[in-house]
Amino acid sequence: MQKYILGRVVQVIICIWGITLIVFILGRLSGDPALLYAPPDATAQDIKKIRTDLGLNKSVITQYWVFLSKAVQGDLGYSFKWRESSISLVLSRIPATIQLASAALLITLIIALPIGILSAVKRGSILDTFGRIFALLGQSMPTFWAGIMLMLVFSVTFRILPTSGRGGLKHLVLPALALGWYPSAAIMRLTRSGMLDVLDSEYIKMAKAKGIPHTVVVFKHALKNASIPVVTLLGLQVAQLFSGAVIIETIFGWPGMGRLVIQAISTGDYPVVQAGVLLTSITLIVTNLLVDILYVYLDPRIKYDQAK
Amino acid sequence: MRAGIEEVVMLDSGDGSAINIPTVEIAPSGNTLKQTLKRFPVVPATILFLVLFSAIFAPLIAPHDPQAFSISKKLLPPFWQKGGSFEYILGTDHMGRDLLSRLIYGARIAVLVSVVVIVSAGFLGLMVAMLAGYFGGWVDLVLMRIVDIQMSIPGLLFAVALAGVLKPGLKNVVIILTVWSWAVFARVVRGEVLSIKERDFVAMAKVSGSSSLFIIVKHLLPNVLNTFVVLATLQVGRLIIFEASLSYLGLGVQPPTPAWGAMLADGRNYIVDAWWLATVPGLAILGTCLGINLFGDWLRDALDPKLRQV
Amino acid sequence: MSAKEILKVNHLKTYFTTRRGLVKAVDDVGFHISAGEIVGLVGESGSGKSITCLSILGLVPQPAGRIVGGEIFFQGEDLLKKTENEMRRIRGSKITIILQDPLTSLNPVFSIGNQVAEPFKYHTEVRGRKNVIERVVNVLTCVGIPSPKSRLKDFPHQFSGGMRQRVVAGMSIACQPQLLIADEPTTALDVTIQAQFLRLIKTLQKEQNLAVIFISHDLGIVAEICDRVLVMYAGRIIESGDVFRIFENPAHPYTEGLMKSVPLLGSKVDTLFSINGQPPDLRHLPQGCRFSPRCTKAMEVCHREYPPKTLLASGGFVNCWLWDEHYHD
Repeated sequence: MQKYILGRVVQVIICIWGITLIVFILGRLSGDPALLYAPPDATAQDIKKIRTDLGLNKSVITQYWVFLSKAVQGDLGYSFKWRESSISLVLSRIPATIQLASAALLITLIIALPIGILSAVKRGSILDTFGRIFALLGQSMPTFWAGIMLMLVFSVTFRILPTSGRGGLKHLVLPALALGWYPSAAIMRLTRSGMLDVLDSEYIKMAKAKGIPHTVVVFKHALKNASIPVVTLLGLQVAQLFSGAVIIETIFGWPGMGRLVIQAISTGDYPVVQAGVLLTSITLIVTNLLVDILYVYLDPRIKYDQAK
Repeated sequence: MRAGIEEVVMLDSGDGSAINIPTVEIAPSGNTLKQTLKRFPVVPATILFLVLFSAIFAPLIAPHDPQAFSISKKLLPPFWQKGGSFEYILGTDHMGRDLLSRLIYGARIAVLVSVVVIVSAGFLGLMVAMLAGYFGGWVDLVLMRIVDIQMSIPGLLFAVALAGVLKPGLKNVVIILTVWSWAVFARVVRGEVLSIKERDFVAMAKVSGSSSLFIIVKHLLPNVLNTFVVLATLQVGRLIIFEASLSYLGLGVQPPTPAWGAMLADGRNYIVDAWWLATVPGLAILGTCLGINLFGDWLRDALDPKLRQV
Repeated sequence: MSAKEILKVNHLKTYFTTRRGLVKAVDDVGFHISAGEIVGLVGESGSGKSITCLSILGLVPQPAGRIVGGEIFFQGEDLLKKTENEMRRIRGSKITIILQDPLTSLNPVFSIGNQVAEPFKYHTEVRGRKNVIERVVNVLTCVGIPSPKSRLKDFPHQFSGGMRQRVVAGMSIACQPQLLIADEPTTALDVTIQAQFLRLIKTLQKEQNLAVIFISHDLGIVAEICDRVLVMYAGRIIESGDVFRIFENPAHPYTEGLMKSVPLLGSKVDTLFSINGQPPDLRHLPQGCRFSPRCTKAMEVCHREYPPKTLLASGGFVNCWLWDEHYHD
């Protein structure tokens, strides 16, 4: 078990290193930083000086090394536009994104799990049909369109919810719903199919044959087994949430990290993009690591598979 | 372990397919070709056909030039609302351009991008999967690490970052989408390869002295093709949405070329005055994806050898 | 029903509706079991053995399967007239079952202590952690699990196949049932482990006066452990009798064929005997005797009419025209 966790941690470190490499390469490709850093009236002389200051005249490997060592210390460059350290800028916006993502995740769980379970238990019924249509729509609809439609209905037509900004619960509802829409569908589908599979198994038959009440069979015996892949999917959905946040924040004017990155792109402020990508990816990787560890606790068979 | 879970995600068992209550079978039986064809999803296929048709024959069927603008005719509603007309069936946008025509031409982008990306990403992913899966060892280790690393970056964020490097435009959209989607193919197909290569017929081929290349092409490839096709149909749906997302953010195909995502971006701005601008392109995307997903489900059932009877 | 009889099945019919037609899995089955006897239920796959037992427990897979007729008297009460709640209380406490594969019968994510405790939790008044643990350890000792107390927190995959099946047996006898149904319990076990398990069943039978329905397609095991045997074919019972009689003097040609198919240790044969033909399609059954298409001794009447039950002098019965008084010579 310990060996497994150690292995995963090594994997995580390699992943993070790989991402720093990608981020660095992208940064270099995005344009000549010297030109971007220089004030508008800089002369060729000034630019050359800036280039030397930034270490751009050294070899690429050296530059990467400098980049890496700075990154480890928490310095990912300077935002051209906002005149702030890009890391501090990104960090200041991350709480908003996390708030949004958490709300979306909560909504997902509240909607998807019960519908998935009920759909499987009452297979073939109207509830099941409704659940499957919901899942199908959820996975076919672009997240941002869901957001726009929600906005159209609730903000424009009925005027009960605001269209943008971050404030109280009222501001959170629509973006969180829009963001949670796709993950709900995916989780619901997986819960349903997982439960169906499990409900067919011999040990469920045995549990019924032992005279265990039906609710206990479903919620104790079946659910724990079916939840194993769902937990892993939840981990994968975090990636989806961060992805979707980029657009949802743009649509709803939510001051999160996604919106920041989009603004940065349009102004060519690449260090901010780099910081955003790096921090988000690290969050994602760590989340997945935690999910994997949780997985081991949920499924006792894994501990012993790894030991072999 | 992660590869297995990805499979569960990507290939999660057939539901969402045409609503069909299965019955318990006592005697072993499966689908004959006739039964499979009987369950052919007519509506999804029709939708897909319409989209393809629009894409190919756009210049012939679009009522107006999608880029012809006229300020006097801006923000006209669809024909069933007051102020609408049959001249502009679905209304016009903020520059007076016919929505229906732009929708039809937008299909071109959607189809073109999807097809090209699926082919290139699929090919790339397939090759990597075969090599990694068959040869194992450090080849597998290195290739899969690369896949892992790439999949650790949230999709859209990665695409946005790439878009910041490559300037917007059709060619670069294709490149970005290809880079984004090859990884999924690689990972899932590799899982398949791993399970197939342990089978007896592969061992037999090795024992009889076949070269690695021969085994890969002749034995492994046909068997993973099933999974690959199913995955490809699933990915097409995601690709269309992804492309639309990029267009929405202004990082995709640039105006004045019509693309559904970009049209939605315009729609967002005029949502108060012209609800149709935001709704109709979204419906197009939704309809296309639904069609693809349902069609893909049927295809998966049809191709599943376990369900087929000899 | 005699005083010692605990189960009497009359005209049980369980049908399945499938995409390809109506499958008559159990088609008019009747038998009885007395306390303390082990009755073997033999027949090929698809003969209806398992479905009969699932019908007794009320666990026929729905909605495709339904019990369409008959009565199942357990201790004088018709189980088919009971509510689901009443059946639930009987399952796992008065009538229990052991399934074929012990690995899949046990829930992989719960400890065996947890799972063996369940019958106590839901069917008895035993409360309190210490009490439940005591009972569980008791049961596990009874079925021969070494050092049970230390293994309570272990999971099913940490046990060997034979041990797992013992755990399942433990779960089944926890509440001291009257009737145990064992559906091919030794098929998934090694031969040596099989023998141990059979000894366990016999011991339990003696100690608790347990009645057992023992389903098997392995005649050797049936011969070893059963008191009486019921032979099923295509959804019906075609012969019943004392185990010795059935093996030495099989009445029905099918039973005869079964006996002949098992080679005797020490005998030399060039080819192994097997019964000609295939079991019938349960959706399209022949009009007369269901075995007649494959029977070497079939007469004209066999193809025409289903043979009535003929009681045999040695006890038991057979459904075969060869034994009917009109045709018996």
